[in-house]
Amino acid sequence: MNILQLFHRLVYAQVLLGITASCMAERNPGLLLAAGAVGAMSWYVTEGPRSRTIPRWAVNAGALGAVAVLAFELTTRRADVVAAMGHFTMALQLLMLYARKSDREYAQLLVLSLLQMIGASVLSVSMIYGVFLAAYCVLALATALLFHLSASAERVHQANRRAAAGGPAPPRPATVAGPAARRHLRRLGLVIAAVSGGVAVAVFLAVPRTGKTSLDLGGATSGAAPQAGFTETVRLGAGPIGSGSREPLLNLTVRSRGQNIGWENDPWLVRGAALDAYDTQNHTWYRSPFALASDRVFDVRQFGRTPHDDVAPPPDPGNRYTAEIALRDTRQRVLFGVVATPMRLGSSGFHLLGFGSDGLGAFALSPIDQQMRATDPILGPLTYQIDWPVTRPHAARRDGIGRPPGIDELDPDLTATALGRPPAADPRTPSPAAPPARDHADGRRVIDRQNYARLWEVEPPRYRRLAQTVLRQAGLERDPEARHTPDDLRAAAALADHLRRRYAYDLDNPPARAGADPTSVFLFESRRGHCELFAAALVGLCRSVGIPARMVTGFHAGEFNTLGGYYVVRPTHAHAWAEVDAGPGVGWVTLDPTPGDEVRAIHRTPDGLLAGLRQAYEHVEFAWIRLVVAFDQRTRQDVLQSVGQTFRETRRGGAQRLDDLIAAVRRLPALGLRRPEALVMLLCAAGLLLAGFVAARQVLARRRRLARLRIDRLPAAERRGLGRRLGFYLRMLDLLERHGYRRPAWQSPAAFAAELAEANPLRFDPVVALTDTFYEVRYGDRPLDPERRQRVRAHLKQLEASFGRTTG
Amino acid sequence: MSWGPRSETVGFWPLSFEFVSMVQRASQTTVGGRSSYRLGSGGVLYVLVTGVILAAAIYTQANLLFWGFGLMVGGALVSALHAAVALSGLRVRRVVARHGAAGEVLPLRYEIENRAWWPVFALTVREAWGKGSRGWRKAGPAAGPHAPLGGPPEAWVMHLGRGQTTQAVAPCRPRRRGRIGFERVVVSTSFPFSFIEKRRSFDIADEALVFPVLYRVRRSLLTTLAAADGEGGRAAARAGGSEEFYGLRAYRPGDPPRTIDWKRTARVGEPVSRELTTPRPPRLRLVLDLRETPPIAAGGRRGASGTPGPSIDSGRQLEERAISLAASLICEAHLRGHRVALRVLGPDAPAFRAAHHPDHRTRMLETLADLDLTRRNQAAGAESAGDVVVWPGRGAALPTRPGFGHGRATVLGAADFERYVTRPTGWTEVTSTRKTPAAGSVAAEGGP
Repeated sequence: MNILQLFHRLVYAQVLLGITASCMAERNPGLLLAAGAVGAMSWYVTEGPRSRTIPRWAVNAGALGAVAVLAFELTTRRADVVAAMGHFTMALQLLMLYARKSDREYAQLLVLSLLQMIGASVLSVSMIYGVFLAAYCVLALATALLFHLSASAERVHQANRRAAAGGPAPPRPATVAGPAARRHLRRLGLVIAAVSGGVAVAVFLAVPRTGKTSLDLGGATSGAAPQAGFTETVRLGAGPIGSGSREPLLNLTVRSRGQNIGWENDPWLVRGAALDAYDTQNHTWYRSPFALASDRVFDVRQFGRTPHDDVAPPPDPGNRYTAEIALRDTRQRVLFGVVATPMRLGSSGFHLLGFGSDGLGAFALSPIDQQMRATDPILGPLTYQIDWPVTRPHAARRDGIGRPPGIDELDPDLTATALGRPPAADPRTPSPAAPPARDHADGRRVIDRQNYARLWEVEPPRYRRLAQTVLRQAGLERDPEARHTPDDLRAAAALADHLRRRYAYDLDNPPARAGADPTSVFLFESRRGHCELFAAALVGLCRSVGIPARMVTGFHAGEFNTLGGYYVVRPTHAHAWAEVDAGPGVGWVTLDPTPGDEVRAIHRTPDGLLAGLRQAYEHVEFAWIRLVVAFDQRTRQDVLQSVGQTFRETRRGGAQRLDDLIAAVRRLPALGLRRPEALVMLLCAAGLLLAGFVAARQVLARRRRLARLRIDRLPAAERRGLGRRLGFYLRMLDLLERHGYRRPAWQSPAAFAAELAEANPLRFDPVVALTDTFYEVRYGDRPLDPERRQRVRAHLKQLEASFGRTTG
Repeated sequence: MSWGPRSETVGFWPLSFEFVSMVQRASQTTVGGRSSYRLGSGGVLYVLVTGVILAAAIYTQANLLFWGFGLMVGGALVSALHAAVALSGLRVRRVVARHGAAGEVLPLRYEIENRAWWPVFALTVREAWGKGSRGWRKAGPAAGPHAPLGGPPEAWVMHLGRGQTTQAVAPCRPRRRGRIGFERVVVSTSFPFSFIEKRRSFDIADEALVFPVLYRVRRSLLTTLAAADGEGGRAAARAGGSEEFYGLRAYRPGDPPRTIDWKRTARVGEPVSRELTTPRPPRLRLVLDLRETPPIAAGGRRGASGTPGPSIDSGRQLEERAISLAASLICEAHLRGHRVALRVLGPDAPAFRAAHHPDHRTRMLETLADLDLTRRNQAAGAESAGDVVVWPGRGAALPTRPGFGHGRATVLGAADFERYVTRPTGWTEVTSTRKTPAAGSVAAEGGP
């Protein structure tokens, strides 16, 4: 194996692997196709039969072009830094693949490839990329070892060339690796990989994390295709929101009292944005400026220590849910909450009690709609934990504990009245109560505290008539001018029930005609539609009779991964529902007007072998993301505590066992030999000692035998076989030595045999024959087959007999 | 202690030119040696890349980069461990020829034994002189532009397993005659990542004597010189040989019966024996006249008008050329069976009587290799007819020019060097380049 040729191939493979991994991390298949084709063609061009390379000036010109493209990407297109640098290094590598390469160029190529992988490691969270990275590391190790060998050989050759200036060029050092060199190289590579891997684990665990950087390195603007599904605004008539990809978006683990309560048939709603305003022109639901201005910024660490002091008084610690949400690769700032799937009378709205995350320094929370947002862009994966109370709306406590307070239950500074304690002032927090309400120039009402979640401007009489009809059928009355009534929750539930029973769930509903409101078309004409239309219809009906309501978008988490014990949420699980303000003492209640059976049928956990395999893969990938990519301070502390605990227990156990052994030894004299177990123990110990002695003696004898045969420096496998096969020669030497013929250490076996044969041909003819057999086996790689074995026995017998004749 | 074959074929005398005395010597095995560590050539690059990964990891908090940083730290740790254990059980022995020729390969090998349990990779073996790794630039045979060596010879061993012994060859081609003293051998390796280079220095003293550049003399020249020595001299004028009839004498007891001339015996009446001639090899009496450094003009290429041409050699170059011509004549004459005598005029050197023996030839070459041109004796020489004078100036092979200053001797001028040798002077590298398909690197080939 010529290491130079192998090195060239490995460099080529490493560069191509780096380019492939980088394109995968960037999720850019077009770039992968183009760069891969150009890179693959370079091998044929430079190493093929024509073996052509581009001149140096062309490489330099290409490098200048790459710099120009980099500047263009960074300035004009405002592309992210990491992706742009990745493109730049990729272009340089492709150029150098076509150039003539000395060791310096190879070193540059390897460094560029390494830099590209550094950038790709920032961009990607995929486990596939992790596999590529592992393969790259192995390849890089092999390439580095071979590069060192070839570079040092080349350096020596160049030094000799310089020394021989004026004379013919000296020969190059031989760079052909034999079997032993290859074997040792492989072993050394394994040792390096093991040690480096161990050190990498230690460094990975030991280095503290400081949280996410505030610099946008391109996570939000890289070339990845945006994942459809959840949106912070909902435009009706633009198709259902649940039509995104099947890639997992987040994983949800729900616990109560420390126990995982996730189950295959127990879906949860992952709450995203609460949309309280509706643009009748664009048919778009959005979050009003009033709600936006109510966001308050909280320090995550302080919020985690006193999770509910600022928002609500603490409920019983046992009566709370805890969810761990692992965002895989989010491209937005919304932090999701979790609510139970509403029953007929709905479920309590989301009410945050505790929040913890190592990846976030601060987050914003609105007391009006309990919407959470990250203050900084979320780059890559993120894991956070939230707590919320276990309450039912109809059983809510009148003191307001454990439920999201309604807008009328908030003080002017938007704190809960039950708490009665103003939060700490934050300079970043705007004051939502200060500005007076003034309508827009186009006649639209400005949303303020008084009309929050109450405005409905799309055919209000028509909606009101329908709502009152439904309520009358349910035996209820609702004064549209009344701010709250005790029956608001039942009224909203009746409206939701009406929608569930009388309207059909259909993802393929035709778009509304031009100018018509999609909600009205759904409610009064088509009577079929997707979840957004159901939610919008319920909100419209509720608002038309004076019940505050808002649309909520998020996900229907019903696909449960039994391997990992968590729900997998995909963009296709996007869902929309409604929240209504049921009045003081009850607060916001979640109501889902969409027919539940049909939603569950769409979002159910898939069955079958492929689904199982996919589930297993996603679980491994989730573990990869959670334990490696999204490894944070909390996970680090958990792992370190676990390791420390294991170490302490092992140490305690080992010390205990040692103490027991010492005590048992001390008790031995007291036991006396009369006791049979003590006798057996002593005999066992003596037997073990004897066996150890015999084994040591055999080992030493074997080493002496190998040394006499001068094969002790051969590889172990070769040594073992030869030592066994060449035993006959040692027996011959022993026989000769017993009769005064000792072979000097400096004399070869052939010379020794020749000398003996010259002295006495008749007697020592067997020695010559045995020596010939020795050479055949030792150097000729001949086996000691039965025929040779028989000859050896005959020669030894003849030699012994000749001595016997003499002495006798 | 001798090593290897008892004879060594040197240079372009591939078939018959054997330096019987050119015995390779193995220096004493050295086990110890001083160890030193330094940041390898790739160490700076390694540290730089590690720093970049660490900075990127801290800056982006990307966990994969922390893994990468850990791997790099692990690699550095492995490098340090490897540097600590590598070269620890190494034994080095230099095997160098006692004699070499300028411009020819001086056999220089190293016998390296690895007694450690850890294999060694990418081992560099280098000769060192003076202090430090760059000491050879100031001291030793590679210091200066006129030194015999252009640089310290280096050998490379890719792999040396546990308990294995190998021989590494260092290309060594002395440029000039003289003595080359070896001081110490430095072995080093920076495997696996060029991060830390470990060196071990072994003090092993040795010496090699480099003969002058040996050229192939034109066949006609030696024939002419031998003819000038006298054709009849090829046979000795005394009896006792077995070649041709020499004369008759009275029979002596012990004469072989086949030497009895029976006809003459019958005629004379008493036994008469025939005597045959004994062959005597031709003789070449060389006189190397280095009493004065010739003027530069003496070496100028003679143009059409008899004026010196553009190629002008210095006097010292002409003197070296004369020494090389003398050495080449000695070797050629020895090959043809001539008896060679040598006298050197000028520098202190012993005179050699005519003889034909390998040791005799080697001693003459050693004398020529050791000539010190800075110390000269200006005493006049006494050339006689039949002497072949080699002198740095311009001369004439035949006929002998009376009054040239060398009496009736045949004068070979070093300035007319190309007339006497088949290989042109100004021995330079002949290099051809070609692109290798793999790397497009330049491979040099060439030589005489």
